[in-house]
Amino acid sequence: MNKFEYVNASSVKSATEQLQSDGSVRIKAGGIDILDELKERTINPKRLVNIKTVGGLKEIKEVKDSLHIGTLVTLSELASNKQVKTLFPALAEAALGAATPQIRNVATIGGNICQRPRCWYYRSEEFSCLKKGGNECHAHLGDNRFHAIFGNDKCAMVHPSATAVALVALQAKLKIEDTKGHRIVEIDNFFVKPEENAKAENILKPTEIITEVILAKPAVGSRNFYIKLKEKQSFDWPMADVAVAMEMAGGVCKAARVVLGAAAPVPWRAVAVEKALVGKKVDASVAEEVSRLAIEGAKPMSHNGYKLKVFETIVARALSVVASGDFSSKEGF
Amino acid sequence: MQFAEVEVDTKTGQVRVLKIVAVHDCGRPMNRLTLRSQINGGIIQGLSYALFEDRLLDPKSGRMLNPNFEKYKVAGALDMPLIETHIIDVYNGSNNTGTVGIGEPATVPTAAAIANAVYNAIGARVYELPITPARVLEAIEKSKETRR
Repeated sequence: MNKFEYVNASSVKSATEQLQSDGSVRIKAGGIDILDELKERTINPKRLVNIKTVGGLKEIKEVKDSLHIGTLVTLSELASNKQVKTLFPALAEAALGAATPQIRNVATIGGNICQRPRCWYYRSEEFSCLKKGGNECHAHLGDNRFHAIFGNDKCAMVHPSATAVALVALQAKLKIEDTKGHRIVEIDNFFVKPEENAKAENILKPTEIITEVILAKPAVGSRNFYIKLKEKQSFDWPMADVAVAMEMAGGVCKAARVVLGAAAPVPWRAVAVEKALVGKKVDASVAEEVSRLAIEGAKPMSHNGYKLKVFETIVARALSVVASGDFSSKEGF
Repeated sequence: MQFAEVEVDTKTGQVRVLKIVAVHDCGRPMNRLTLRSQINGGIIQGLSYALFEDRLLDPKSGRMLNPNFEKYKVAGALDMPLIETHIIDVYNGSNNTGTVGIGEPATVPTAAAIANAVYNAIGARVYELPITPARVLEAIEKSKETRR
């Protein structure tokens, strides 16, 4: 770890004023990912700006028909918040399934969606990959058992954030601030593929901070859910996860969002499944039938072909749960 | 001797160990509490070896890919089965105190018992450790082909 300055910010303004466009000053919230990056020397900032000292970013507020989640709300708080649990079980489940209880108590929602890749080639000092300015993705010819099956032509990382998967399904909006003011960004436009920018996973500029995650309350008849599969039950990254949000009328699907995690460099929408669901009365057999479309267009690599079957399975299970509305009887593990 | 009861999700390949029954000949037990703890510990390591632990090397460069506790998988509390231990007191006079070691012996049979239980559950053998979901799915797929 190299030397750096550490500053406690008193407000969003005082934090953004210190940020530099060259990325030499970094924001620290929960400090989970940034500490790993400092230790692994994937980043060498001159200064860290701690925003945990900024007031007003830790609340979950109801504003008209939406829920505004402050960027410093921890994963534990998200997982246990009554409103989040009732309105957005997908988000609560995603937050609950991440990491360990100790990490969830400090990790923030803002930091979670801005995590850098967990790819072992990216995280190792010994490899120089596309993400770090190198010229190849080592996962293509290396060990890619946990890597992407979609959109993996350039860089085969999988997006590390579980809550991002749920937030994309729930069509969240992000409030992003800098010294000039703020902008609201739809989450669909937030994440970027390696083809657009290999060195970043989202559009956030080094001078900006996410201050809020905004979720519109779901319409009547809407349901959402999230399932994560891990090899280990204690502290593990997902092999595959999926979030489903469905708008229904009389058991018939009017609109759906099906988003796959640990599948691609960004939270990956299974558009073919979404389209196939519309107008159908969804039950277990329909769920199984349309789940086959989830892996349409997938390009598995040498070690990750097993993910195809796994994704089919969890998409079918998540759809069944959402259609039945019985969130208590989680199938499988 | 150890017995394992497992649950396998045949569509995702996940294996969960529900129960391990461990029966060990330990010579003359000096302290039954620490003896049981030693067996529990051995089973935890054995389970971790059976299902998770793997030192992964990059095939091209030979560098280790999981040299930390985030990526090197060790069994945690939620992966633990119910453990039942039976201690068989044996006095065979092989030394003046009648004691026998139980450090490693508790670790040795666990993985084999789990592997046999997985075979019993899915009807297909996984010949390599750790028994990962990918390997379980592959074994199931292969056994379907040979049956055809």
